[in-house]
Order: sequence, then structure tokens, then C-alpha cells
Amino acid sequence: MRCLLLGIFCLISYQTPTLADEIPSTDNTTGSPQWHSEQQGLSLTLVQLGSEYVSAVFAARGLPKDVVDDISTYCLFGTIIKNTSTKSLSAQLSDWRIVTREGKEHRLKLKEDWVKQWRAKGVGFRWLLLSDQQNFDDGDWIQGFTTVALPPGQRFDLYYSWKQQDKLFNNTIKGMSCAPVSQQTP
Amino acid sequence: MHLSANKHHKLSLFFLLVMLLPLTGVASEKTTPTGNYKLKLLTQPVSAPDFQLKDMDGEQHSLKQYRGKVVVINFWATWCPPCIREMPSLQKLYETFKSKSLVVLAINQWEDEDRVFEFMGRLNPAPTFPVLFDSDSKLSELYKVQGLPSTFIINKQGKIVYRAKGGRDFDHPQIMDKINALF
Repeated sequence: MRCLLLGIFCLISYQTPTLADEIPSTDNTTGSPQWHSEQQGLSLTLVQLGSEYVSAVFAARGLPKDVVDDISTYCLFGTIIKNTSTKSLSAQLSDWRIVTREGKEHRLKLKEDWVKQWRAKGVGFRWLLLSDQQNFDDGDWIQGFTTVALPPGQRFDLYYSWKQQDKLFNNTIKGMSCAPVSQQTP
Repeated sequence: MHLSANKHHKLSLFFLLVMLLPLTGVASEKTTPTGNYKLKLLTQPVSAPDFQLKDMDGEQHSLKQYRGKVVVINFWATWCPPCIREMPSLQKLYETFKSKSLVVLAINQWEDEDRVFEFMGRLNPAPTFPVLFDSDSKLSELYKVQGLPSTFIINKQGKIVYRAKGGRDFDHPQIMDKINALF
């Protein structure tokens, strides 16, 4: 009986947010879940994006079908980073980590990785995605897609860091998730 | 009228796309900072890389030809909401200082002329400054542009004196004052 209860508890805690999870807000316009955090001069907003939307956005840029299909299999977020302080700050996105509920660690696949892959196919496109090194002066901000090789619906915690005046800051957004599987056209 | 499941699905996707279109930039308009007038002053101005790009009429523009004038270079695209949002303020800035020989060059990234031409016609006020095409994004690489929009302000000596990453209100008095001081 104790074993059964423990099993049920594990199943529930795997599928539902834990107490420490950030509760995403819902963008009123898009209805998409978004996570937001502002700490020590850095504001970070991540909007969950579905594969059909990602596919449509990249196809509209005139990219080849295989390139569009490939990126659509990834877990994508519309990512907005702002410097909300009056001092410069920097962030190295390749240092950011995504840890799934199973404890597996992933890195973001950034602009440099995608551009290298696309250039090998003769595609020169280099927009929409965020690059590794980000520097922000007073008033600066950026927006773009961040990608990670995770399946639809995967839950994870994001561990991110940034530097200001040689001081390293860290923060975690717990209980994020990739967009669920898109409904398939019958 | 009954829609088939397929049509219904396509219609849903269409509306989803319309709703999410602002995210291509990726922020929606409301997430764009308002009243953002901060420019990074380069305490040690650097020479602005020269270029030769065509405008919508096929005319060539080089940075060199504008030496002795204050030049605002704005990297943008039609799918970038903050780029669109700041465009009218760039036009106001241009109108205010064109008599003082301010040059504004909007450098489009990775789009064809037809799309940009059609888009420009929908802007109010329609920009009257030149729109140039950096079709292979080589110039943006040269300027180390990390994201759109990005703006560089170049003094009469051809040096970059201010830069901005992300959208700004270029008709804000504080920006106007900074640019006015460069003439």
C-alpha cells in the first residue's frame, strides 16, 4: 500500500507543477504561456512557441523546407532580454542550462550553431535567433528565439546567469515547459 | 455553414499566426519599452565601416558620400515589431534635422524590394529617408549587429558616437538634443 501511494505521488509530482515551480502567465494577445523574471538589472521573458507557428515564421523568411522542418522539431521560446539597470551587463547564453525533471542537462542551441549548419547548406539567413554573447548598455534590450533539443511538452528548469561589473549573478526559472504537440491536420 | 475539420484547422492556424505575428520580432508591441531614449555614448568613437548599398530606386549609397554630415544608420526588417514601432520616430527625427543635413539610412535585412516597397506604403508617416538593402546581411555583420533593430549614430568625421540595441523613441527630446549637439 505504501509503495502504491509513493508511486501515485511520484506520478503526480512528475506531471504537475511542484510548489517551487514558476506559474507562467498567459499573454492576453497570444494565449501562449510565458515566464518572466527580473533580477539585478536583467529582465528575462520567455514565451512558449508551438511548432506550427515556428514553421510558419521560418517558412515566411523564404528558408528551404528541410531547414524549416528541422528547426520546427525543436523546443522554441520567444526570448526578450532587457537591461533594466543603468549599468552595462552581459550574458553568455552558452552558459545557460536547461535541466529536465529526469535530471538531464541541456544547452541552448544558439544562432551560431544554426548559422553554421545553414551555411553548410548554402543558406545565409542569420536572423530571428539569439546569439551566444549578449552585451547590454543602459537602455538596451533584445528579442529573438532561443532553441533547445527537447520534445514537445517537456518540463524543465532554466538556470541562467549574467555579469555586471565583474560580478556574476544567477537565477532559476523552475517548471518551464516546451509547447505541447500541435494538433495534426486530419 | 459547416467547415471541414481540415478547413477549421487551417482557419485556426491562420488566426493563431495573426495573433502571434508580433512575436516574430519576438516581443509584442506592448512589451516594447516605451519612452526609451537612452543611447550608448562611445567615449572612444570608432570609425564607421564604409559600405555601398542600393536603395529602392536602385541608386547606390555609400557612407563615404555623406562625410561631413551626421548619419543615423538603422538596421531593421518588416517582420520586426520594434523596428516598425520606431520608424515614425526616425521620420520625425529626420524631418526635424534634415535642414541641418541629417542623413537617415534604414538598412533592411534579408528581404526583397517588393515586400519592403509594399510595406513602406502602409507606414504613416511614410519614411522619406532612403531605405537600403543589405540582402546578404554582410553589413550588419561588419557592424556586429546582434539583433534588430540596432542603430548607430555617426558624426561628421565618420565616427560612431552613439549606438542603441533594441527599439528607441528617436523623437524623444533627449535623443533630439544629443543629435542636435553633433551639428
